[in-house]
Amino acid sequence: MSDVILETRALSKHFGGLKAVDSVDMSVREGTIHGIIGPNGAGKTTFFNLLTGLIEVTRGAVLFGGRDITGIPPERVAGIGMSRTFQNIKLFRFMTVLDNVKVGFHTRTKTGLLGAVVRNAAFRADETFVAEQGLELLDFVGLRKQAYNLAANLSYGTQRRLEIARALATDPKVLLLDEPAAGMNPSEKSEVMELIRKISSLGRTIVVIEHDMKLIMNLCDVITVLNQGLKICEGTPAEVRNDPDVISAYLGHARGA
Amino acid sequence: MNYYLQTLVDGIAQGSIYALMAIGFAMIMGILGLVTFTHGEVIMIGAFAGFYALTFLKTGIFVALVAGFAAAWILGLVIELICYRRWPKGPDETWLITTIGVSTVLKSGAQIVLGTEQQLVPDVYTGFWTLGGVRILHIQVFMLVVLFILSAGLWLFLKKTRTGLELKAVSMDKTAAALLGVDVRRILVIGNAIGCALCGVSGVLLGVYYNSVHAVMGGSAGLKSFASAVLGGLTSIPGAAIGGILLGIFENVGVLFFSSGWRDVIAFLILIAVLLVRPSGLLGRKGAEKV
Repeated sequence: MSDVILETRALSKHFGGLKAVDSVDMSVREGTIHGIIGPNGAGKTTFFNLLTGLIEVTRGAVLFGGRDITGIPPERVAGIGMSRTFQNIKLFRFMTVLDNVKVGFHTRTKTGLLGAVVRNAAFRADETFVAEQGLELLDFVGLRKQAYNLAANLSYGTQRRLEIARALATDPKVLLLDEPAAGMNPSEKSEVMELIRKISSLGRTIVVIEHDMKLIMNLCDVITVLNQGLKICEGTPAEVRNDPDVISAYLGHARGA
Repeated sequence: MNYYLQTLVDGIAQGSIYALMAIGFAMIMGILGLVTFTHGEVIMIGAFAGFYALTFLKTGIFVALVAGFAAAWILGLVIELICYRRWPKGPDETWLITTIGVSTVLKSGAQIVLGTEQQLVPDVYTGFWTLGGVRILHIQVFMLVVLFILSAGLWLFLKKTRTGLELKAVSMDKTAAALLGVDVRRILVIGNAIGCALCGVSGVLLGVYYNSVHAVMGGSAGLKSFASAVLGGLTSIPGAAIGGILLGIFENVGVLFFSSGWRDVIAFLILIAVLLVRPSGLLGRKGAEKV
């Protein structure tokens, strides 16, 4: 059995009296595709924001590769090997597609301002590396042809793919995807599913939040179900599908049950 | 006819100063995502740095420009420390208020330390050419050249360097940039310092062009840079340059038709007109601004 790479222990976020995330224990095993589902307002995105240091943890801990990273500043998240996309796409809209990806390579190149001014060998090597890797990455997600278009001019589904490419540029061990198929048509959805499988097959661990049940059931090895901030179920797609708590969370309680 | 051409030439020359300060303003605004109020005082300090270089150290105009650039750069670092870094947790508007405070301190401090009277700045490049009855001062051409070199340098920096790319990334989305490993704090320091330094240079030119510097010159200069930036689209750097040149031309045309007392009124009128007719400015990006 593979090792746990990302783990939360009693992770909680309280906004005043509202328990957006309440004592969630979750273990993500290396190399798996781990789904997080739950009705609207279940705390899924808040959970991602806690993992990536965008909001302060009220209680509990986040462990990455066995190391406590609770309260890590967002700037250091990429450095330890975690990267994410956003439910409401957060691209650098007025940059080219390639430049968007280039920013993600930041953590992997070393030359500073001085190198850029004198344009020494190390700087030129870095630039070539970034440009080549960037184009390769765009190829991987199927965006090479649009490399020099502005990100803002891409279609919605394409923007989501670019966001995934940009997240991959930091070479993450764990990729967090927040509703990667939201607002897509069925053919785009199956393309994204293929892409996620491809990324997973290269050995990266993926945690994905998604509303589309068909997609998540087909894709994930393990699924965690959140409802009103609480973890109500965890297991394989088949286990989750037949869990009475999950059914009642999604469909409401049966009368007299 | 010559009269109008002359006005146009004077307007463009004056506009080149506004363009420089507006570029600095747009740069800072883009990085912070907020209007700041220390701008005029940075221009004033730059102007004095240039003035002292020219009068006490008897240096040439180039050293004076470098002095203005350096003084404003350092002031930019200090402003970042006092106004931004110390208040990481508060609402965004905190920065707005802290810059108002620092601006007041700088303005009043300058009046105490540097005196309240206007200082005479020696002439630089007094020669001129006459082209078909239109007089073009050497200093006017010089100012345009300075504007051109600095904007080209900035453009190359933003386009060709990693830090430039990160500056753009931070100005478009701080959260996403941070999660990609960009050191947002460092970018903020650099962007703010560059913006301030450009304003410092514009201050030196302002002092040299009008042969005067004084401690309260920042008020009107800050307004001009704000009006130019709004005209160009607030955070758009090419927009700010065009906005500055246009404001210079409008001002001189306005003075031609009314009187020189109307000079500052025109900047205000343009500000109001742009906000009424096209709030996103000439080259502004709709829906991208945080202001």
